[in-house]
Amino acid sequence: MKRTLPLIITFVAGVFVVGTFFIPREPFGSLEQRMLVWYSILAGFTLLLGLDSLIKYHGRKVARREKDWFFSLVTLIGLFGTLAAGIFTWAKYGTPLELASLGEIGGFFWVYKWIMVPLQGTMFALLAFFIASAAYRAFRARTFDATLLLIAAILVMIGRLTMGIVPATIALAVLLVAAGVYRLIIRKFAFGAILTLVGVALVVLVLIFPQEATRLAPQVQEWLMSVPQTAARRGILIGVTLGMIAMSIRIILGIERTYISST
Amino acid sequence: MKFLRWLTKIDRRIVFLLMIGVVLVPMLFDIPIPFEVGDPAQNAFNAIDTLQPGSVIMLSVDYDATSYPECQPMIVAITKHAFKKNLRIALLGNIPTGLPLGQEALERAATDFGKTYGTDYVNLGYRPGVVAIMVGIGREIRDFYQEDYRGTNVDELPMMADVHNYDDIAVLVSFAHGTAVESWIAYAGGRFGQQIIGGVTGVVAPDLYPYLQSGQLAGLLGGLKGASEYESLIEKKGLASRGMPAQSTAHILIILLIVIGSVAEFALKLAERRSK
Repeated sequence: MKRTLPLIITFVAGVFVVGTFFIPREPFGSLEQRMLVWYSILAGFTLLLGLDSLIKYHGRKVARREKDWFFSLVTLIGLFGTLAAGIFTWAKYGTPLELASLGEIGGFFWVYKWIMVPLQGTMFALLAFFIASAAYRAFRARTFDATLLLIAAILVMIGRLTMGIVPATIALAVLLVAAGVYRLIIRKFAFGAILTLVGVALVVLVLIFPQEATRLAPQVQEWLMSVPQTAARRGILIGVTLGMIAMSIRIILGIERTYISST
Repeated sequence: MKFLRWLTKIDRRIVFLLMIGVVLVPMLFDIPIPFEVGDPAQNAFNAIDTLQPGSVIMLSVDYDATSYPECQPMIVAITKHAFKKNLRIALLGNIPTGLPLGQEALERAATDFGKTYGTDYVNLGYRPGVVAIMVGIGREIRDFYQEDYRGTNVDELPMMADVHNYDDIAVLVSFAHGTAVESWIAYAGGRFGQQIIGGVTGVVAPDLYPYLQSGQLAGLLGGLKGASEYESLIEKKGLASRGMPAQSTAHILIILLIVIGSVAEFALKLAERRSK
């Protein structure tokens, strides 16, 4: 029963929701709306469950002085501190989202704007440093595929530049010539010759027509994004969507049961 | 040979220092950046610019502070554009920690253009259940948003008197750093024919190009460049236009590092070949 009941509920709810989605006429339309409201209410309770889980987990770590308990303490202080700021601002203005509280130390918007936003922003800003370092280490034109990927990536980056398009394109040309010459020396003549010729042609064209190069770069980038990138992305999208449909049918029919495997 | 080997393995701390330098220096100077506006941003601008005064646009805050530099200039620019065109704005969001950013942009633009809360704009706040909300609004928005963010009954807000579902919303703009725009397209666009614009981070933008081509997206602002394009279209330079030179120098540094690394590796391999 412990396994059968969830399977029955899943089947009935799944078939019902799919049915109401495709039949907008009454009474199905109203029933669908009612189920959506129920879902929204249930989703609200999951937030409470998350809060309960967070407090219990970190509270236990602090109480037992487990490894890194101090970070758990900071988490709890952050949680209750923000809650206190929200209640304080709410009591004063009738809503925590009152812009006037930006100028009040301890006001919700003050906490949000001057603590949370910089903290989240800093975490994300670290990405720029790691991307630069990783791109330098991993992006090497070692193989044919890697060279193609490298050229496409650099062209997209050049297309999004607002300045320095000519020197950046010359840098790409230098890379192409170097990769071409290297392959010629190691006797991979065909690919080497193509890369060298393209590189030399690129340098010459950019030096003769710098303004046209600046104008064309965003268009090349747009073409790469709109045609080859979109073609690949569309294929992935169709594959993922078909997979999701198949998985949903398996769950509704009770073939896929991993979500109740712990019971 | 030693130098070539060093070039292929430059200490990452040096890379980090270079990155700090190329990002900081352009920010210290006001560098003019003339550039062409791409079709995705132009289409987004046109979709809003051609609306009749009084039309309602819905802004969905589906990002938080992690994407502030890219998404915030977009919402600032679009709220200014909308108020300039005398459009009415309904704000809501699927990420509660991002909603204050939308509220800030809306309030500041409203102050600049002398707009009144409840009449010209509303903030409906956050409700849990992303997909349920997206589908449910198609029938009646009040089933999910009985009150605004202040707890005021939605029926007491004059602007909401004639806003019930997607039929009453001219354009929906989702500012997102995840898959929210795709969900809006699937549930609001696919089922109810809602016109949608995406304002997303640079990482997310490539995922949305298929929808742009199929016409399921009316326009797209991708990353800082998309935001700066919109700023140039409304002729109000903001955060994105000021950030673009720094992004450009960072891109140039990455390109140079890639080129240096690859060229040095080729040279090193050839030198090692010769020494053998």
